Amino acid sequence: MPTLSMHSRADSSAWPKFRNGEGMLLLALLAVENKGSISTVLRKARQHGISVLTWDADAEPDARDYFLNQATPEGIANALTDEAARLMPQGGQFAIITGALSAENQNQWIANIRKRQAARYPNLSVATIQPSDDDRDKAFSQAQTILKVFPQVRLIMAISAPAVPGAAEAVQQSGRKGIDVIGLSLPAICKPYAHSGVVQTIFLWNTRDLGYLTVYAGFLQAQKKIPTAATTVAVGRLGTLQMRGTEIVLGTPLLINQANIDSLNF
Amino acid sequence: MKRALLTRHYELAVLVTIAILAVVLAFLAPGYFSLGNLTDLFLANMPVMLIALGMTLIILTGQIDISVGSIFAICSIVVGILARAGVHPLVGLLAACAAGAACGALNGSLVAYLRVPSVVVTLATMVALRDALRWQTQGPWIGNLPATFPWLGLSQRSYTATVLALVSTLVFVFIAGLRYLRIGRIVFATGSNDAAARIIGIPTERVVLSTFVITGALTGLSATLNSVRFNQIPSNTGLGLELKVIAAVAIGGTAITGGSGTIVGTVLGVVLLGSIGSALTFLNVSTYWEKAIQGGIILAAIAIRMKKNYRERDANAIDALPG
Repeated sequence: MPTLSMHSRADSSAWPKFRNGEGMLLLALLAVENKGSISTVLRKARQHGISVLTWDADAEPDARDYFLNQATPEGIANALTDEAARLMPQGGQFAIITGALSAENQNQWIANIRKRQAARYPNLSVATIQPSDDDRDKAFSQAQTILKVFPQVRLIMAISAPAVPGAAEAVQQSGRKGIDVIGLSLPAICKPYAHSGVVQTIFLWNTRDLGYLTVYAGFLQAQKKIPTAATTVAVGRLGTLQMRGTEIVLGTPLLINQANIDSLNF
Repeated sequence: MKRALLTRHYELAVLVTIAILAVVLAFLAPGYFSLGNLTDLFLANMPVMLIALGMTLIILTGQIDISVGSIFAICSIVVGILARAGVHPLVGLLAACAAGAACGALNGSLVAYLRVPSVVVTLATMVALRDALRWQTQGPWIGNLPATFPWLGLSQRSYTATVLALVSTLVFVFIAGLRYLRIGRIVFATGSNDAAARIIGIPTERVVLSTFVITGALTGLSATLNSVRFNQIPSNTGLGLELKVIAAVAIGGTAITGGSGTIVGTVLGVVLLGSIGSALTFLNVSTYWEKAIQGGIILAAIAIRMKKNYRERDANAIDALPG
């Protein structure tokens, strides 16, 4: 389990200073699939006066002080659906390639994509949803099949990082024009397809900002500077961020396209 | 002793299943049989096909290799690194085969000479090799591949023709070799009864080692042929590949306990497993059913296979009766 612990010795001119010997221990951790078991340990840590902040994936809410939420399911789904609508002004069908049909987060995104589409874009519809097992090659095959079985599909929305280049490669090899690929992915693996024009847009939370928020929130928490029941919090260069209960929401996802993809090296 | 045709020639059961699926598709989704789709399906399943040839040998000797997915990833990365260093993809292909064979030799010697159960050895190497690779590559994909890399420097069409010829040749060599050559028969002998095989002078350790080395080399070959279809190589490629390969061999009727099975069965197993997924999409069956249907087919295949085993055992028991 990747655990980052920071003692009170951090000292940098850019950062508000931690006083030496204060004994503050900040725990920021990634809780991915072992939510239940990790939460037990975290509750113990809190009983001993250690502040617990989770980021990327949450633990049980009562096992941590704050969750630094990189993007809400609605935020991601709305950004993707709005982008699909922008690329399909005449309306039409799009296909979704997901990671695994059992993945909780991806299913939440799909549910919110459907909600947004139904509420705002009645001229769009989802032709099919196919799993890719988070595998580039499987996503490639799935996209090939989608292009044949659903020739009316104008856009493929891939919501698993390796699925975007997989779908893009299939569209590129098919030689068919006018089919866009968008999704959630990493800039490095989508670069060739963004430049060839197959991948229009990908979204991702800004990993640098998430790291900044995590450390900054730790600093604030150590000084007890996050008031209970606050609805917003000022986070340095990120400005004022929304709070939902004990979650601090990073904001809208980062939009990556041909214009900015080369400046992002991850 | 009269036995039902399907249980005597187990492969027929798989063939009938494929035929039923084909007839349904021909009526409901004739587009499935377009040349484009068949080509895509062939290339998508080519890695499983090649590795399954070797896996059949391993399983025939009574062993198993669950590390082939990790070996596939290592070989893909080897091909990518060499290609980026300007090495011709054909040299990369040989290097990948060598890397795969080396991994196979590691598994094979631990299994054959140290007598560690193969499931334990290859479970360990599956995890160790993949994580060693993760540690080495630190995650990023290999991109910026040279122009000679895609399709082995051939046109897409001649690449496909070459791969088809190569896979067909290998399938034929494996069928003929297992059936008619001494080296083929000693694979069966090793898997049927290791002790008896040794008594008649078969070096069973070397046979087992060879099956792992051959499978490793085939994994390297398939990793190369697969990598050149794309312009990037994912560092975590081949996840779950071992399951597809072993499932295809098992569906093809090779006894998981060793000693009995055929390459024809394995080919049919690959065809059935490899076509069912996209067939269901073509038939507009909800994706949510895909895995359940695949599981059902595997279960049915194994059930027919077990019935065959029991019948053979009963027949042997009757033959052994006096008079």
